Amino acid sequence: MTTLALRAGVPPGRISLAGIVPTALAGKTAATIERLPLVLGNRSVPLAELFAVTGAPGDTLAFADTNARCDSIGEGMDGGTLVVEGDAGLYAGRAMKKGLLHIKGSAGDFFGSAHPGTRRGMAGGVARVDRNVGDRAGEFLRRGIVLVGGDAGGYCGARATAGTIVVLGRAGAMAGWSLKRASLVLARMPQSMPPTFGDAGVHELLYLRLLARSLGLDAGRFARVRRFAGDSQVGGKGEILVAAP
Amino acid sequence: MKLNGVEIADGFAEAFGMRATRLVITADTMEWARRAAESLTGFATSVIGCGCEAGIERALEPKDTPDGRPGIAVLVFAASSADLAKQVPLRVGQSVLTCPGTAVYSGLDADETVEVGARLRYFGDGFQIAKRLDGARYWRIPVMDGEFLCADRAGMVRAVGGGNFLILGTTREATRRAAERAVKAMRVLPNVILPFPGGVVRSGSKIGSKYKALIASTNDAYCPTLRADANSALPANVESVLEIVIDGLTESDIAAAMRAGIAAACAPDSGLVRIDAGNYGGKLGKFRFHLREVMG
Repeated sequence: MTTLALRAGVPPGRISLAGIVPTALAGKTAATIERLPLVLGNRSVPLAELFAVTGAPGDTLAFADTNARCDSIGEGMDGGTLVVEGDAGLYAGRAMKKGLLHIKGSAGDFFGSAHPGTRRGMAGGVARVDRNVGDRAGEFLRRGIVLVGGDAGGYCGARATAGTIVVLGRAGAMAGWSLKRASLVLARMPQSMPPTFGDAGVHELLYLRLLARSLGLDAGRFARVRRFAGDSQVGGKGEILVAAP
Repeated sequence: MKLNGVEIADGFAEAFGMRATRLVITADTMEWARRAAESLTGFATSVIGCGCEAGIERALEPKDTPDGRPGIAVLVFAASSADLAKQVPLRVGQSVLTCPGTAVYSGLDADETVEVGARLRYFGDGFQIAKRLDGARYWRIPVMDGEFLCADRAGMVRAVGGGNFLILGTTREATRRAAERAVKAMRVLPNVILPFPGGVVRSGSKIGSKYKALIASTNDAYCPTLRADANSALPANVESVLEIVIDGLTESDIAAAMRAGIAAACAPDSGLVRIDAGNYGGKLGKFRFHLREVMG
């Protein structure tokens, strides 16, 4: 496992960590990794200027001491495990394809979403945040799982075409807007959902047991869910499943 | 070679290469899982007339099933991958999809697979939903009691079918009781099924017939009423013969089942005369199980 720890006193500006993913770093020595270019604000700097590199190369990559300035963590990930001991900024897990991204703090807007202008979001893997995420988490999701341990911002799962988004806290306004076929699994009623969702009543869905097992959640958590089918403005084959008492 | 006074014949069982899959059927209760499994494996005694050979392998505790509910593992064997691909969706569709609260999972990890939900999903008429979890694909098919959850595919392996032995006894009752003991001892073993009713066959067959339309007919050499005929294979004191047929995932699974079954049949004072085995002169099957090697 290679660990990249954010140094104290890094100059101001946002940091882009696009491309710093397990498969790209596997087999690279610490010296090579230290020379990789990162974008800080509007300039390029060697990675070592911002992060202290420790450990040996492997399937797992870890970030430590990160904060909300660290953007694009795990963006385009295509395998391996990426663990973040800290917060993540914008675009974490964007257009991810495979592997596990686990952020132990919070993440900003566009978590597990798509590149700007494209309609192709996450294509696989598991993107997990232990605390909160910003707006538009899981936007354009196509496959894979987005797991939010805390609250999600507005438009969670907007325009998702497949896959599953789980929010264990509360989702914000307009959850599932333009949802095509994906599943939003929510522990509580969201702040709001589009009026184009229809209440299909309370159900026991076996699939949710498998999902809970796979994610290491309590199996009883989603034993009974209220199913809202929608978004009917785009076909209505998606669903928002809200845990029912 | 003798076992508790019962002769182990110097013969061999002839078995064939088959394709097999294991399905795990779960339900809200063990009773409903068993009903689905019994229906799925019903009328699956021989590939000749049933398209496949199937049986219940074992019951599974909730902790051993993918969804944490009680389950039943079934094994399905067919002569070719094409036959298996036809029989599995057909049987799951008629016997499990229909059965309240059930779900079906793959019970084998293998490179080759046979379609299950991949075919049955069309029953959902466009309302079906695919979900991928930990590398496996599942279908959620809306049905009247909620959703039928079904694995997209199940693992398929090369397997062995037609392992067997014959129990030759002095009376019908002694022979039947010996067969029952054998079945009881064999049914606890993994990776094998005994496809016939109660695990036992009384109508052993030979290849061909005097009637041109028949590819197989009664095994007259082992019919006790025909003992006066020149080609009878039965000693004078044999009044009844029963056969136990075994399909298994590997050769060693079948050998282990034969060993356990023969040992259980040949209890002290069993009233048995001989243990023999069915073969076609070694011309048809790929596998041979020599009784004395199996029991050695």
